[in-house]
This record gives sequence, C-alpha cells and structure tokens, in this order.
Amino acid sequence: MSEKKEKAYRLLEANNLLNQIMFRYMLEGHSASEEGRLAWLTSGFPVEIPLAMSLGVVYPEQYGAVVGSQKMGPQVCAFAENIGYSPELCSYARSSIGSVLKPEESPLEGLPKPQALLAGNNICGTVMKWYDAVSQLTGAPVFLLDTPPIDDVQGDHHKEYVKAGLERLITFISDHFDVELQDDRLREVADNSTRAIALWTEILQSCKAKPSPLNCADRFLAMAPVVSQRGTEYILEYYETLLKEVRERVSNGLGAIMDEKVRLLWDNIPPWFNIFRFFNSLAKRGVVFPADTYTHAWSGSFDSPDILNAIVSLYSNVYLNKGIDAKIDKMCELIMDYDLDGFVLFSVRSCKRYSLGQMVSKEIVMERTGVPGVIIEGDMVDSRLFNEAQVQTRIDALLEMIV
Amino acid sequence: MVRTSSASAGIQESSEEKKRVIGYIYPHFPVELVLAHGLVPSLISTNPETQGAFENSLQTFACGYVRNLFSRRVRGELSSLSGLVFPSNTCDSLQNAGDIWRYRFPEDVVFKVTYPVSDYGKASVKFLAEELKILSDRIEREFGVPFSNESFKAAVEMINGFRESLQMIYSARVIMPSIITYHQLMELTRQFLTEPTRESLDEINRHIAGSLGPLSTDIINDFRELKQMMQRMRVEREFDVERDHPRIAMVGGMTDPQLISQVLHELGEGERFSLVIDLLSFGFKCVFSPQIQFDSDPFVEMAKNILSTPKEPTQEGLTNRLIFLRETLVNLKIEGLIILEQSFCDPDEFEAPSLERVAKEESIPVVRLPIDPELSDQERVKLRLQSFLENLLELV
Repeated sequence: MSEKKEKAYRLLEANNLLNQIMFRYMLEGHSASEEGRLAWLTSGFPVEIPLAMSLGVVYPEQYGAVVGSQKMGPQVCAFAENIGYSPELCSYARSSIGSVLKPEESPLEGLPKPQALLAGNNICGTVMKWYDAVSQLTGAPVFLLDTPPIDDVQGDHHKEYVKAGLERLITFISDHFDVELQDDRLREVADNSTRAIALWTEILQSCKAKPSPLNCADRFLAMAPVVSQRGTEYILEYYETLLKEVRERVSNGLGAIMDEKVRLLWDNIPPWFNIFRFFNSLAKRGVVFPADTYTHAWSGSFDSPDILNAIVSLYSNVYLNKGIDAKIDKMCELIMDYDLDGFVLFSVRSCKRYSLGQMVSKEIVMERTGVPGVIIEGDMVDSRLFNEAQVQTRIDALLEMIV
Repeated sequence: MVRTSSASAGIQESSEEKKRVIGYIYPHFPVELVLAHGLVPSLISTNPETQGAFENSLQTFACGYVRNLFSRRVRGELSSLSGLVFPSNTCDSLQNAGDIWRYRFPEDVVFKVTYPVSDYGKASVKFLAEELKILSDRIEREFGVPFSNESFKAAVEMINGFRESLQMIYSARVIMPSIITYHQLMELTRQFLTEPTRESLDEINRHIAGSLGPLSTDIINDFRELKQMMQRMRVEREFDVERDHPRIAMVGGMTDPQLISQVLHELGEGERFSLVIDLLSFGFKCVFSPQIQFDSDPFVEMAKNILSTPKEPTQEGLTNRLIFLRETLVNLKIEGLIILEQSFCDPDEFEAPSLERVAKEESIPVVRLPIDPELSDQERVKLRLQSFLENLLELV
C-alpha cells in the first residue's frame, strides 16, 4: 500500500484499475457512437435495458463532473449561457449543452455524439428539459422514463405505470436501433448489476469501521463504474480489488486519513472543482466523512424472477425519488449506523430536487440524532457560485460544536 | 389552516358561507372533484404585495412562485383555506414544497396529487385516475364529505359551460382584439378560477352576448374554426385578423396573467398595441382545457380530461409546443413576442431559448422577460417592455 507520509490522507492502489476501466468506458462510448448505437443516459436510468439491447452508453452527469474537476465549469457553462440558457439552470445541464456547442473547447472534446437520449426523472425533473435541449442541438430523439415520486410505499398503480414505461422503452430502442431484447441477455446484465451493487454496498458499509477506510472523495471517484458501467462484467474485478484493499485497511486499522478525530455525514453532490482541496484540507484537521447520501443511492438487487418488476421497484425507489421523510430517515440511519459526530448539507444551487428541503431536514435530523449539522452553499460544477471563505466559516462553526 | 383575506390576493372569501375552501396550485387541477365533495376549489395565485417571508424554509433558488406561496402562508394570507393541494411530478421546486410545508406548518391539511409527465395512453389515464381516487378518499376522510355523482355532474356542466364560453371569447379576440381588452379577459378568467360559480359563468356569458351579438355569421364562424384549432393546439391556416394595433403574443409558464396584464394595461394594451394570445398556464392553457365527458367512471373521465389539456413546460411535448407557437406567430399575424421567465423556474428557463429561436426564424421581434411574482423590479420590467414596444411600433 502506497503511503505518502507528508499527506493527511492515504491513496488507494485500486485507483490504477479505476483509471483503466474509465478509459475503456470512454473508448467504448466513442466506438458505439461511430457505429450509430450510442445513448446518453441519466444516472438513475435503468441501464440494464439499453445495455442488454447492445447500446453503448455514456453519462452526461459524469461528464459534468469531469468539466467541474478540470475547473472548466464557468467556461463551458458560458457556451450555453451565450445562446440563452439562464445561469440559474443546472450546471450539469449547462456544461453538457455547452460542450455540445463547442466540443473543441471542452474537456475530452465533449461526449461522443448520441443517437438517443434516455432520461429518467427519478433523480429530478430537470433531466427532461435538459435532454430536450440537447435533442434540439443534436437531433437525437428523447425517451423519458417517467417514475413519479413516491411518498411512502409504491402503489400497484404506480408499479403498473412505470412498467408500461419500461415496455415503451423496449419498443423505442427496438424501433430506433433495430434490435430485440433477449431475456437471457437481460438476466445476465441484471446479474452483473446486482453483483456490482452488492460489492459497492459492502465497500460502503466497511466505512462503519473506525478509522473509516474511505473518505468522501474516495467514494465519489470509486462510484463512477457502478453509476456508468453497472451491468458490465469488467467492473466487477475493480470492485473486488477495491473491497480487498478496504478490508485490508480495516484489519490493519488504517484509515482513509492519517489521524481521524471527527466523523461527519455529507449530503448532496460534491463541489467537483474543489473536491480534493475541500476534503483533504479537512482531513488535515482530522475530519473524515465515512458516509454520504449520494454514493449510497446506488443500492438494491435485481434478484427476482421477473426482472422488469425488479427494475420498476429499484428505479422507482431511489433516494431522490422519495419524499423528505425518507431522506431524513436515511440521514438519521447513516448517522447512527456509522457513528457520526455531525453532518454537512451541501446546498447545491443547481440541484433543487436534492437541495430544497435541507433547511427542514437539518432541524429534524439534529433533533432526532442529537448531533449538530450545518448547511453550506455552492454548486457542483459552476465554481462562480462557491464562496470558499464563507463555506470555511460555517464548517469551522460546526467543528467548534463537536470538538 | 391557511388564511386568506382578499379576493384580489387570489382567494375567494367564502368563509361567510361557512363553506370549506380547498386551495390548488396546478393549473389543470380537477376543480370538479372538489366541487363533487361539496367543497369550494380556489386557485392560489401569487400576491405581488407579499414580500419575502420564506427564508426560514427555502433557499433563495426555489422558484419565485413557491417562495411567494410560503411568504403568503407565513404572513397569514391563506387562513380561509381548509386544505391545500400540492402537485407532484411537475417541477422540482413544487415537488419539495409540499413536504416542506407539512413540516413547517404541521397544523395545515395538505394533499398531494401526482401527475404523469409522459403520455403512455391508457396506462397514464389509469395511473392518474387512481391518484384522483386517492385524493377523493382523503378528502372524504378529512372532512367527512363523500364524493357525490350529482354534484359532480352539476360541476362538470358548469365547468364545461365556462370553458365553452371563455374559449369562444378568447378565440374571438385573437382575431378581433378590440372586442375586449386582455386585462378584462383575464379578470373574467381569474374570477372563475378563484370562484367557479354560476354567477361568474353568467357574467362571462353576458360579456359574450354583448361583444359577439352584433357580429356577422361569417365572422362568428371564423371564431369557431379558430377555437376548434386551438383546442388541438394547432393554427393550421391563416386568419383574416384585425390589425388596428401591433399584434403581440406572450408565452411562458406559471407567471400570473393578471400580474402581467396589469403592467401591459398601464403601457397601453388595447390602445397602442394588442396582446392577442398568451400561451400561459393560467391563461390560454386553462381556458383551452377540453370538455369533461360523462362516458365512464368519473375519475377516469377526469384523468382523461387532464391528460388532454394543453401541455405544460413540465411535461413532454416541446416539439409540439414549438410547432404551435410557430403556427400561431405566422397564421395569426403576430408582430412581436414576449417570453416570460419566472425567476428560478427551470421549465420556463429551459424552454425560453427554443421559443426565442422560433420567433427569430420567423423574423418576429422578441423580448425575454425574467420576472418574479412580487414584481420586485417592476420599473425595469416596464422599461424593457416599453422599449420593446416602442421599437415595435416603429417597425410596423
């Protein structure tokens, strides 16, 4: 295990393998586009179906993270703003639209050209509008899988409606790409997804250990394959390798940071443009984030005799598709299970679905768990909306309450 | 629960009659369902006079509409309501608003109706019908008032009458805007949305009789033909329209038509220029909702009806909306387009560039107008509109 003594955190060896499979993912996306079978997908879309029908897939949200991490958010978002998209809109959407307009001035020269745009509104309502805008620019047709939000238990009428959407999705892909869905191939892909998610869940749960073997930034990077390549076999090796490394850390008492003093929960997407600087500067002060609500969103199983029913259930019940009650319950559960000392709610201006409700959530979670929390404001891609000094002041105030 | 005090603020004053009032927000909410329970539905619009009191519940990037609702509640303006129905699966600001409201105002009775975004045919109808049945059951449990088929039938007759009449006068003034000012038309529309009674319908019919009575059959037939087209969100042929003043169209989402009509009125609507069509949620799209049928189960019929209304920016169908806009601009001889964008409204702000593109492709002058429900920058809004109109008057 490589360990840089001068740093407050430990690097993961499995990151080498991660880089390789992300490179493969990128190449496969370009190849699929050239062959006329590339779909752009939202992160909560049931990828198992297009994958089983031989489509290549890429994820504009993930591309937004790349734009952010390369600190090109303001520049690429501005391309979209210059043709009339408001700076008030989601920065994933703006960076995606901007990169379609000017790929030559965008990281990785933009995403490869799509032949279809598959949006699932289980993560937010914005995706439909965003994909409509991309459709206007690229000519690729949009398919929206409507998974209406769920308050409590998913009713039968809800399941039937979402299943009708899945059936239409299969028809849509068949019609546009002249392919058929084979049951055994869908089963194979779904089994791969189930295995990847199970490994991922085990990795996340290992962070209950003290010290936590992973910090927030580690998980935000490591989740990339389970978001974008779940259903493929080749990501399983990566997650097995990562799990092995994480287990070694736990058994050797090695944490993600050198000197763990404070354990916090993170809520929301991270500020991609600042992700290492933000979490590593806190690591120097002994602050680790063993759990977050975002990377825990990829959970569940397709282990069911009827895969379509399993897809309906799993993709309708994702974290962002549930009401505030479920979000508060999840945060409280993570705080208790991971024995956390406090929580940070990142109010992301781009993401209304995730962020509106945090003011109420903060009060209730504090009341139920007895640990303090703080809301910091900013954005995930557009660094113009992130005031580092203000964020620091609020984090300092939180730590003063804990330490 | 929620207290309202003035009709001008958007809530009817029916507390004197001791009737329970149920507020609603979504433009295509089935008011007939509430009437069938013997309750009074009332559109909760924004109040430009209510300034920020939302900060304890919402971040500043919640849409202007939702912020204004919370401010109204905090300031005690909604207290004559017995309940409030939030829409689900429409936009992200409204999605969370109902949940936040429940926590922030636990004494309030809050309902929710989830609308399908996609049109999956029968599957969408079945889903929405079940949602409406759930709402009806909850209303009955909450207030002890069952759904009455007789009241439903009476409500539907009244609402169908309202739609028929308003669609006629709306279509008429698209062709001949001198019949009635846009401001007057929106007052009639709002009156019905906030107080759907026989009396308000009678008043609309009196206006129609006065305005259309003296006109020739040929002209009336033109009005009827346009009405039928607009019910389908199409304007498939050119119409011979009145062109006494520059003809303006307006497009957007849930911006309050009354709010903007007041501004336009002050700038000379009806005298210097004519706002002939609005394509707003609480204007054209409410008026051109189709007739409700009695063919089957009431909940199925209500669901079918809602799913047949002109689509909102929160729903699928951008391509069709753009086709309709283009036909409207060309075939109704529109000379200027105003695009309204409510602050922090994702659906408005996402569609605006596409709408603008259509106008530019047709060489029609266009202005995009960011606006908030409080008209906090009223002078700037007026100035931009004034400048747009002056340029337009020089051009035409």
